Amino acid sequence: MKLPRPTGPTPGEASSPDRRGPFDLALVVDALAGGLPGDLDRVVVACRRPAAFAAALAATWRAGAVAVLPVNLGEGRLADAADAPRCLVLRDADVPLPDAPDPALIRPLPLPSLPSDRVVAEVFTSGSTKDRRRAPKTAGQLLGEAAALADAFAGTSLVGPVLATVPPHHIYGLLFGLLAPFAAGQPAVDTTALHPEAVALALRRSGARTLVSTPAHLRSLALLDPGEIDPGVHVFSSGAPLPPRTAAMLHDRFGVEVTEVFGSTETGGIAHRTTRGGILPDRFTPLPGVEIAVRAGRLFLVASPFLPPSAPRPFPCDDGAEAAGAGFRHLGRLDDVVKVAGKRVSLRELERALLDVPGVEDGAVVAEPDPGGRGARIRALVVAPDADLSAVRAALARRFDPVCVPRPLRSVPCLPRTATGKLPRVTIERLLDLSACAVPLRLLERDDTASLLEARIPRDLPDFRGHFPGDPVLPGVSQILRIVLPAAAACYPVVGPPRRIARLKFKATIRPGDRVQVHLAPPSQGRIRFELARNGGSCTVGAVAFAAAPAGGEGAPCAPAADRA
Amino acid sequence: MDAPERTPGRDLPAHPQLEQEIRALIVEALMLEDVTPDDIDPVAPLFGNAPGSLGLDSIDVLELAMALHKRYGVRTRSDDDRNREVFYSVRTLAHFVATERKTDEKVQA
Repeated sequence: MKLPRPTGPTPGEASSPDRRGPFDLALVVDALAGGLPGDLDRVVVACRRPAAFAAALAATWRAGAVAVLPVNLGEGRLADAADAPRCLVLRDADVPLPDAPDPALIRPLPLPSLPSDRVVAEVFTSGSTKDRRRAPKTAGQLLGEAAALADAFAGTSLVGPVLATVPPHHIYGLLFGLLAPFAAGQPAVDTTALHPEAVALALRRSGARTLVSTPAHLRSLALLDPGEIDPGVHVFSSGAPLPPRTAAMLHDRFGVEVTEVFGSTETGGIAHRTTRGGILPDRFTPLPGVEIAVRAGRLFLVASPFLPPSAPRPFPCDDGAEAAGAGFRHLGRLDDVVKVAGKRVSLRELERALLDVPGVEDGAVVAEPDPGGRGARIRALVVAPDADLSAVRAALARRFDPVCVPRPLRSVPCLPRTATGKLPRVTIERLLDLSACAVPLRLLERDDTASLLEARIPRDLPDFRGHFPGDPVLPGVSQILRIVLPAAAACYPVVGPPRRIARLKFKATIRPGDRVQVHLAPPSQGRIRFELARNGGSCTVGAVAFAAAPAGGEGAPCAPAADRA
Repeated sequence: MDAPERTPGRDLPAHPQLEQEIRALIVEALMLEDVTPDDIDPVAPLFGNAPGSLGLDSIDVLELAMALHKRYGVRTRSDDDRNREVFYSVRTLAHFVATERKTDEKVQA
């Protein structure tokens, strides 16, 4: 559908009598709504500027249409989002904004009073593109949550102007950056700042009192000098568990406190907690209207106005919890859904997608808590002897959000599955570690008595430098680290770290470009015997001893990691 | 992030040594263990979904900003539009680091 030319005010002539004060979008919304076709079902709100977004959203609602929040503003995603009948895309250029100081403040727009079961927005759920579903949000969910947040925080921690580092097309950015401030009668800042310097400057210039952000964005504020953020600024964090050291850094450096809001796109907001002196209390308090229960270590929402109307109640969350007073302590995620940088992704789904990629014979995906700000880090092993890893990555990137594509995605010659096909998590992790510096390995044959692989020795391996000028040979330590250990961990379920070289004998040299046959015998008494050969001639023979499993490690099921905060 | 209409840094001088360092820094800081520094084309976009892009995201850009600060003492700009240009490719980043370091030396001299 095409948008008729706006007939309302053009930039520069609309309402902005006071260049210092917040600017009023009322006329812009009138003009925009007046120009929308009458039979509109959906509007993809694809505006980068928060003021344009707010105006486009208000106009969409006035036209009785549903606002679609695109996953991102790339044209491909916009086309996906707009793939529906009677749907229009509104971009920044479609919204005639008046001139305003930079950064401008947006005067709170009145939020519409709509029946609570009326669908007002559509978001895309899950990290997977192929199976990405449109999830409707009702007025009760979206506007109701904005009102509840205003109720819980207005006048204390939610004081305008409000600056967000999360763009408004992201539901958290929309709720906390625009709708909750508007519900609380507070102005929002008309910019989305990302880089630490940009955040500091936008805070100073706009006089913002509230910063809405995510742990990954907040973590980078450590680049600023102490005092560059006013201690009167209050911070909201959501999207991933807030690392305690990020909260402590924000307090030590700037004297600010953080309110962490716990929830998800699917459930809406659930609960919150606020630091004191930079220290996060261990207990979450439910948001107004949310009633929780903890059963068998699992968090349930007995009642929540922010859940989809059709969701069961009590609603089982994917979170482990322990009841504490009127609230709960969060004990990590339960199932295979992890959150990477705010995007939820199912590890099983990711693994299935990996196995669907042409050329991929086997694969395994694990997640672990991320030391950075992403919440979780996804690593994967793939057996794809004839496929290019970058093609595998590209295939996953087409289906999943880039942050959910495993990093690293590591090529191995085979996976050490047990006879029943099981792959303990601890052996996956060991293989990930041991194959980090492997040369390309390919499985040739394997039976109960032996494994035979081929190793290709790259000509540009840094190990050849200095070994020896004009006469490069592969050092013994490289043979162990780059060939023997990765091959052994791929063929046999090694759980402990390599302990020592039990036996080692060099018979002939291995050189750049060589194709080396790797013979392995199954572990016996904790040792794996090996022979490296070239053209049938033996080069190196020996045995490597592995430590036994760390206590409690062996036999752990291949359960996906919980993203423990 | 949308692809800019022109390629930033096309006319910038190359800083081969610095570009090599930055490519290694990207791999290390962003834990791109399946990408080697040599895989990164110095003029290809680092971010976004455009063909040939390394496919990094906004969180990567902040991680990288922290790593560059730690390594070279440089801080990014207060203007995010300018930051998008600075972080466009290895070449634009190397040019930024080289320029910032020069300015720093002048200030100290």
